[in-house]
Amino acid sequence: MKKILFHTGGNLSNMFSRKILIYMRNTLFLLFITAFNVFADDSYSQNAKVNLDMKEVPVAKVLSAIEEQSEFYFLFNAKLIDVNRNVTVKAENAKISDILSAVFKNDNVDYIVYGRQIILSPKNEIKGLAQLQQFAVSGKVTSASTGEPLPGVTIVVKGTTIGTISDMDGHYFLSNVPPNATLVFSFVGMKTQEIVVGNQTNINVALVEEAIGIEEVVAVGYQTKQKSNLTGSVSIISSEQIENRPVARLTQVLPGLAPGLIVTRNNPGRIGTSDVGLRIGGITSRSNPDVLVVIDGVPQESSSVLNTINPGDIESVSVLKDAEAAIYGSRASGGVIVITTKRGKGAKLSASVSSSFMVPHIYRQTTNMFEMFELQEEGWKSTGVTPMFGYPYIFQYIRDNHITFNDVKNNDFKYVIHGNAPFPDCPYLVFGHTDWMKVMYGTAKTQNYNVSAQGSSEKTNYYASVGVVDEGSMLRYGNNSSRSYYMRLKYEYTHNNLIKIGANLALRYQNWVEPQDYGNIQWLAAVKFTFDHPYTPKGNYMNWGGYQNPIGWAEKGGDIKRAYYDLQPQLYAEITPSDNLNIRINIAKNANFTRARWLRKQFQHYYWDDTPSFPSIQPDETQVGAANSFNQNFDGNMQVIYKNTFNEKHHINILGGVSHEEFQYDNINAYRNNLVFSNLYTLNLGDSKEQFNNDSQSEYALNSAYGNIGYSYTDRYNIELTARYDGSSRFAEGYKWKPFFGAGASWIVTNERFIKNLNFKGLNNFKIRATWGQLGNQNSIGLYDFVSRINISQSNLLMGDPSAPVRLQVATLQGLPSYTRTWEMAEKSNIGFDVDMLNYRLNSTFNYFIADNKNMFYQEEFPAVLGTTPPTINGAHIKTHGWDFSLNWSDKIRDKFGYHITFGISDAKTKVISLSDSRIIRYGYNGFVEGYPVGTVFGLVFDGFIKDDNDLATYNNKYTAGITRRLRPGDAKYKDLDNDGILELRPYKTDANGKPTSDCGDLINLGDMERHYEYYSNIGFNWKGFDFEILLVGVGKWMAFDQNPANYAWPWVQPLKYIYGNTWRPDRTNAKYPRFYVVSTDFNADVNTNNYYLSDAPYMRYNVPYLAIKNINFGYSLPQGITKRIRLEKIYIYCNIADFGYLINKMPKGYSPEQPFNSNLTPYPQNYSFGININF
Amino acid sequence: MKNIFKYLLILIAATIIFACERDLNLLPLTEISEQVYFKSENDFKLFANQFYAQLPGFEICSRDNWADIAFTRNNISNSSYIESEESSLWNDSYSNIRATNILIDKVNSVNDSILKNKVLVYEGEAKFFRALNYFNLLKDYGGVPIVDKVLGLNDKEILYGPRNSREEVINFILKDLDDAIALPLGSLSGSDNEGRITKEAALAFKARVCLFEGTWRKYHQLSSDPNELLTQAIDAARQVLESSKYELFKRTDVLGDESYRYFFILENEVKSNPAGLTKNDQKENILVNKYNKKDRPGTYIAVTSGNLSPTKKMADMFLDKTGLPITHPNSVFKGHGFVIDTVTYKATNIEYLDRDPRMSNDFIPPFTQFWYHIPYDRHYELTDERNTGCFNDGFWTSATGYLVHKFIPEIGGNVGIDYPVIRLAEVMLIYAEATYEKYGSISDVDLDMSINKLRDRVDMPHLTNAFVQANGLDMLEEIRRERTVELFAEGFRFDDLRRWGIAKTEMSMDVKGVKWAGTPFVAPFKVFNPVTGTVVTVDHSLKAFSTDAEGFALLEPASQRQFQDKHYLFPLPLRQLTLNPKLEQNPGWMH
Repeated sequence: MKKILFHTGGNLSNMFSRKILIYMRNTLFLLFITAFNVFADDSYSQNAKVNLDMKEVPVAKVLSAIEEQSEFYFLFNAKLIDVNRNVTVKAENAKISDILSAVFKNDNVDYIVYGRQIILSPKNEIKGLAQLQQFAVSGKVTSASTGEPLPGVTIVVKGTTIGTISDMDGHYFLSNVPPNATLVFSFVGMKTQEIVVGNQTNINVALVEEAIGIEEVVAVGYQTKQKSNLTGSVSIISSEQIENRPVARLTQVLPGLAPGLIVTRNNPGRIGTSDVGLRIGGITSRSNPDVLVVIDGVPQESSSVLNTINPGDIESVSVLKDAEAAIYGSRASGGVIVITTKRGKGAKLSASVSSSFMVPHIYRQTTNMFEMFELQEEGWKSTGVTPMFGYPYIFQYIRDNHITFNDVKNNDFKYVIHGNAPFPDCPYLVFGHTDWMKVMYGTAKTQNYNVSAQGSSEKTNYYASVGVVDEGSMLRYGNNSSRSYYMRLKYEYTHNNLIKIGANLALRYQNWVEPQDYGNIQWLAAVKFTFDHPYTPKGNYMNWGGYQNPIGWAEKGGDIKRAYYDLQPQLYAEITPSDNLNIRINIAKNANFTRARWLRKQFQHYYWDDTPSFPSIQPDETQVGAANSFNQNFDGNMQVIYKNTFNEKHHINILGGVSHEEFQYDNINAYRNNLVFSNLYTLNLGDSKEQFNNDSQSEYALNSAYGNIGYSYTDRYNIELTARYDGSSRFAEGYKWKPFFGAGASWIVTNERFIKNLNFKGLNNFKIRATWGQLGNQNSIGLYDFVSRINISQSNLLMGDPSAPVRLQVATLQGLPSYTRTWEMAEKSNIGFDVDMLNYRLNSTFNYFIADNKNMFYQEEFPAVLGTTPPTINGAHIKTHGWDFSLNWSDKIRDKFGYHITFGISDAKTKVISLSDSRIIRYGYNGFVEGYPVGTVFGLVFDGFIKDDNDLATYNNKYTAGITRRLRPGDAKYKDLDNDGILELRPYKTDANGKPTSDCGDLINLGDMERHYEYYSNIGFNWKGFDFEILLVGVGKWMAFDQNPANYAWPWVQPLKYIYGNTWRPDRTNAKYPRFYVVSTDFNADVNTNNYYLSDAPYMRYNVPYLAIKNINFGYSLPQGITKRIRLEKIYIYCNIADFGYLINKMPKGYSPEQPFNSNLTPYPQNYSFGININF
Repeated sequence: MKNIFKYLLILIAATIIFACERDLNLLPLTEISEQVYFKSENDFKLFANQFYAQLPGFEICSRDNWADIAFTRNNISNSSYIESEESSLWNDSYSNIRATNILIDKVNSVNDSILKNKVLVYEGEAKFFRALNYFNLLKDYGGVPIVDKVLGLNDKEILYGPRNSREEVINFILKDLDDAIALPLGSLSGSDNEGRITKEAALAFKARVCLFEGTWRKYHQLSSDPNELLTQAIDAARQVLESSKYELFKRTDVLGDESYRYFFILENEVKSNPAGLTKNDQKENILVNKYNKKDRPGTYIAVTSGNLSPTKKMADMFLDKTGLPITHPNSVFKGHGFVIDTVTYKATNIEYLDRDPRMSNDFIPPFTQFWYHIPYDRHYELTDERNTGCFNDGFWTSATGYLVHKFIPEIGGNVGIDYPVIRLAEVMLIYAEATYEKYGSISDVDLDMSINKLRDRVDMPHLTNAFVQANGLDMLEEIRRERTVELFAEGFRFDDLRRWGIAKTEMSMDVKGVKWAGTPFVAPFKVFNPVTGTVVTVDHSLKAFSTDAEGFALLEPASQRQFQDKHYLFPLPLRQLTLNPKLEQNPGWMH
C-alpha cells in the first residue's frame, strides 16, 4: 500500500486556470494513478452480507463465522474485549455492521473497518488505537450531474499535507486520516466539498459542477490572482480555445476570442510571415502603442513575438484592457496580453498532427479581353476622340473575324495581330485568355506536428514540447515554403519548500524561402492582361513588354532564403520564507538572429514566335546579397509579494518590484550587383566593383520600480492601488523619469448578506468594478531625439572627373532635438460589471472606458521657413470613449447535449480634444484635427453625374475656377458649398451668422476611417464525444473609399469586373460609376481627378461592414472504452475550416472586406484542416 | 525571522546589481552629436556635399510645358490653377536654406584660423546655394521672408514675420553671390573636386539673377533701377566670357550636322555618339548636375512619355537659313507639313528645309531615321510607323505632333548624361540681352562676342545691326528669339515671358501643333520607309484633331487660356498663410 503525501500549501491550482483543468480531467492524472496498486473497497464492509443462525455461542465464534462468510478478519485485544461471552445471533442476509452492532450493543465496544480488517476496541479508546493503526478512509468520487466517476480529484485532509487523488474509476484511499478530520474534495470546475470523517471509513462523494469563471485564476500584473479578486477588466483565453485550431501562428487564433481585442490582418495568403495588427481598447495615442506581450512574466520587445511561439504551448492568454495593465506601466498603454505557457503537472504525453489545405478564395476579378476592349471603346467614345493606340484595328479585327471569347480562351494562338497593337511597344497582339490568379495560385498544404511531455513530482515539474509547422505556398511556381521548428523546455525544482528555481527555454528556428521579389510576382499576377499567354508555343516565358511574366519571375527571378533563430531563455528563482512572503527574481534574455541571403537573377522573355524579347532585368540589376541582424533584449525583474489574511476577513496582497529592460538592435546588409555567376549565394561571386554595404545599430533601456497593494474585505470588497516609477533612455536628462499611479475597486454584490437573504435563485454572481490608472508610453518616438545629430550617409550625388566620378558622402543635420519631451501618459478609467445568472449558465461582462491622453506626443506645425522638422512634444490631448460587452450562455440538455453561445461586441471613438497648434484640415485623411475623431476624412459633396450638354453648360457656368473644363456628360458634379464659384479643396466653414467665412472651401467631414462595432459570436455544441463550434467575427461600421476604378481607365490597365456594365452611358444614366473614359498623357487626367475626388458619392464612399465565418470546427473524442483498449487516454479527431467566407460582405467581388479595395495581394485563402490529438 | 532577514539581504544586493547594470544614458551608435562635429575640414565638406542635391536636373526641362513653346496639358500653362495648400518649392527651399545657414554659422564660429581658411570655400558654396534657393523663391513668389540664420522655435519674429520686399530679397541674393565670388570658390584641388561650384559659376549665376530682376524691374515698372542690375549682369557675364576656361562645343568635324545635338547627350560609360566623344570633350558647361548610368541615372524629358511636345510656336521660331524669320516676306521658308512623292513615296519634310539647323537637332523630323535604343538593348534604330506624324503612338508620344530630340540619348535604359545647369551659351545670351536692355542697342562687337558665336556654331548667318535694319527686324525680338531657340527645353521660357512682361499676351494664344488638314495625314497614305526600304501604308485618319482655319492641330484654344496679371506671380501656399497670418498673399489671389 502506498502512502501519498500531498503538499497543497503552494496552491497549485492557482497556477492554472481551472477551466483548462476541466478539459484535462479525463487525462491529467491518468498515468500518475496507474502507478498505484489500487485498492477498491467498493464499500464492502457496508454492504457485505452474511447469514447466521447461532444460539448462545461465544462472541468469538460469531466473529469466526463472519470471517468465514466474508473476506473480513477481526483484530482485537482479547484482554480488552470480552469475546467469550455467549450471544445469540439470527440474521438472514444481514449487514455485518448490523450484526456487530447487535452483538456488542450492551458492551462498551466499538469497531472500525480498516481494509479487510475489522478492529474491535473498547469505546473511547478507539481514537488512540486508530492513531496507532493509521485510520483509513476510502470511497468513490463521482460527478453529481453525470454520475460518472471522476478521476484526478484531490482529496486532502484539511489543515495537513495528507492527501491523495482519485484513480481512473474515481476511487480513492487515504490511509493516515486523523480522527475527526475533515476531508476536502476539490476538483477544477467542481464545487469543493468538505466532509467531516467522524467514524466513517467509507465516504462516497458526488461533486457538483461549478459554473466556470467564478474561481478562475488569471495571470495579471506579475502575479496570478483569483478572478473574483480582480478590480480590472481581463479577458481570458484558454488553451482549449487554441488547441483545436491548427494554425501556424498564434495571431491567427486571436480574432474573436475576447471582446475589445481587435486583430486585423493584411496579406494572410502569404506564408512564412504574419502581418497582423493588434489593438486593445481603442486608440490611446498618436503612436498607437504596440500591445505589450508578456510571456511567463517576461515582457517582450514587440507583439510580433506572437509569431514566434508555438501555439501548442499556450496554457492561457489574458487580455488586460484597462488600468489593470498599469502595473506593466512603461510599455502597457496599448493594452497587455499575458501569456502563460504550459507547465508540468501530473504525467502526460501528448501528440497532435494536422494537415491543412489553403485554397485561394478571394482575389482580383478582372474583365476578360473582350469586356476590356468594350470598355475601352466606350471610353474613346465618351471622350469624343477616335480610338488610338491601335485600338481601332483591334475593334475592326474582332468584328471582321467574328471572334468571341470561346475562340480564344484556349490560348491556342489562333488569332494574332501584328503591329498596331494597342499597347506601347507591343509588336503584336495574340488573342487569348489567361486567368492569372488561377494560373499563379493553387492549393497549398500545411502540416503541423506537436509532441509534448510533462511530469511533476513533489519537488520538480517539467514541460517539454517540440513542434514543427511545415507551410506550403499557394504560389504554384518557384520556391516558396516555410518550415518552423519550436522547442520549449521548462523545469522547476523546489528545495525544502523554500526555494524554487525554474528555467524556461524556448527556441524557434524558421527556414523560409521565397522568390526574391515576391511583391512583384504578387502584383504581376494581379495586373497582367488576361489576353497574355503564359508560355510561347515552345514553352518559353512569353512577354512582349509591359507586365512581365510572373511565372518567370517566380521560377527564375532568384530566391531569398531567410533563417530566423529565436532564443528565449528565462531563469527565475522564487523564495518563500514563509507562507505569506514570496520573493521572485526573474532574468530573461531574448535573442533574435536573422540571416537572409538572396539572388536577384535575370531571365529571358520571348515573343510569341519564340524570338527573344526582353530580359527581365538588366545585368547590372542582378544582385547577390546577404543581411544579418542580431537583436536582443534583456529583462530582469525582482519582486516581493506579501500576502496575509487577518481575522479571516482582511486579505492583503502587497507586491513590490524593480525591473530593468534593455533592447539592442544590430543589422548589417551587404550586396553586390552584376552577378558573375548566378547560382551560388555568395557575395564573392558578385562584381567587386559594385559592392555595397551598410549597417544600423541602436539601443534603449527602461528602468522601473513598481508596487501594488491589494486589499480584500471578506468576499465582497476589493481595493487595489498601484504605483510605478519609470525611467527611459529615450528622454533627455531630467525628463527620463516619471511616476504613474493607478487604483481599482470592485464589489461583489451577490456576496452581500442582504442580497443573499433575498435568495435570488437566478443571480449567482454580480460584481461591479472600477479602475483608474495612468499608463505611460514612450514608444514610437526616436531613440535619441534629445541629441542634435549629424547623420553621415552615402549619397548618389556624383562629383569629380566624369570618367571616374565618385559618390559623395553627405552629412546632414537631423530634425530639431526634443530636449523637454517626456513620457506621454494616458489615463484610463474603466467601469464595468461581471454577472453570472441562472446557475452560472448565463455570464455577461460589460466595460465602459475612457482613455484620456493629455500630453500625447505630437509634432507641432511651424511655418515652413523653419526649414526643418520640429521636435515631437507632449502637445496634444485626445480622448477615447469605448465599451465592450460580452454575453455567454452555456447549458446542457438532459445532461447529454451541451451547447454554448457567446457574443461579444466592442467599440471605441477617439476624439482630438486639443492640439498645441491648431492643425489645419486637409483634403483627404486627417490624422489629427481638433474636435474631430482621429482619422477623419474630408471630401467633396457629390451632386450627381452631369446629365447632358445643358447640364454640363450649367455646371461649367457655375464655376469660374477649380474645375476642369473638359468634363462631359457622365462625369461627377460637386457642390459649391460656399457659392463662390470655385471648387476648393478646403473645409467649408461658417462664421457666427452661419455665413461662409472668407477662407471657406467646399469640403465636408465624410467620417472617420476607424473600424466600429467589432463583434464576434461563438456557437458550439457537444454530444456524446462530438463537438461542433462555429466562430463568427465581424465589423459593424467601417468607412472605405474606392479610388481604384480611377486606375482602370488607363488604356494599359485591365479594368476590374465590377465596373463592367456599371459605368454611366447616355443609355445607362442611373449607373453607379462615372462614364468610362480614356486617360492618357493628354487625355482626361484632370477628368480622372475630378471623378475620383474623395466624396460622399455612392461609388466612392462605402460603408463596409462584414461578418466573417472565421472558423468552423467539428471534432470527435473517441469513447474511453475504445481508447482504453488501445491504451490511449484520449483520441480527438477533428476537421476545421478557417476563413470559410463572409455572411455579410458589401465589397465588390474580388475584394476581401478585411482589406477594402486592395486586391493586388495574394488571394485571401480558405483553410481546411484535418487533425488528430492523442493523449497517451 | 532570521531567514527573512537573509533573503531581504539578497534582495537588496540584487536590486543594486540591477540598478547599476546599465543606466539610462544611452547615446546614438551610428550618428554623431552636432556638438562634436564641425571640427575638421572634412566635416564641413561632407556637410556642404548635401547642397549639390539642390542643383536643378532634368525635371526643370518640363518647365517649358508651363510656357508657350511646349505643351502637355497642365493647369499652369492655361492658368486654370487655383491656390494650393502646400508647395514643395516653398518647403524645400527653406529646408535647403536652413542647411546653408547652418554651415555659414558653423564657419563663422571656427576660431582656429588654419581650419577657418580651409573651410571658407564651403562657406562660399553655402552662400551660392542660399542665393540659388532665394532666387527660385523670388522668381515664383516675389518677395519672401528672408531667413539668414539657423532658426529656433523661439525665433517667432521671423517664423511668424511678414514677407521681405522683392528688393530686399534681390539684394540679399546679390550680397550672397558677391560674398561667394570673393571667397575661394573652386579652389579645391584634385580631380575628385571637379564639378564643385566655381567662381565662374557664381558669376554666371549672378548674371542670370541680375538679368532676370533687371528686366523684371523694367517691364513691371518697379520703382527701383533696372540698369543697376543690368550693369551687374553685363559685368558678371563679361568676366565669364573673358575667362578662357569655356568654349562652345562645336565638333562638326566628326559629328557633322548633328554636332549640336550630340553636345546634350554626351556620356562617358557608353559610346553616346558616332565619334565616341565624352563629357570630357566639351568645355561649354560651367556648372552641371552630374549623372551616370549606374549610380545616378537621370530621368530625361523622354519623348517616350510625351513629357515635352514642342508647339507650332516653337517650330516657327527657328529662323530660315538666311537668318530671316519664316514669316518674313523674303524668307526662303517652304511651308509647313510634308509632301510625299507620288512615285517613290519618299516623304519630304518641307517645314524643316532651309531652316536653322538647330530645328532638326532639337526636333525629330518625321519619316527620318533616328537612333534610339529602347531599354534592354532592343534596337529601334529608326522608326517606321512610330515616326510618321508622331501623334500619340503609344509611349512614343507627342501631343502636338512635333517630337522633341534635344536631351534624348541614343542609348536607352538608364541615362548618364549631365544636366547643364549653366552653360556658356546662356552667359552669351545674358550678355547680349542685358546690353541691349540697358543701352537700347547693341554693337556688332558685342553681338560677335555673344550671339554670333552661337550662330557660328550652327553655321547660321550673323545677326548684325545692318541685317536687322535691312530687313526691318526688331533687334530685341531677335535677341529673345535666339535665347528661346538656343535654350529650348531648358526651362527658361516661362520665366522669360514673365520677366519680359509679355506672358499675358503670349500665353493667351492658341496652342497649336503640326499642320494636319491639307496634309496626307487626313487619310491613309503610303510612305517610303528608309530603314526597310519598303513602302508602307500609314493611317492616322482616325486621329481626329480639331484644327484651326489654316489646318493646324489646335490643342488648346486661346479661349481656354486665361493668363491674367495675377499669374505673373504664383499664390503663396495657403497653409503657410494660415500658419502665419502676417504673410500676405500675392495680389489678385482670393485667399
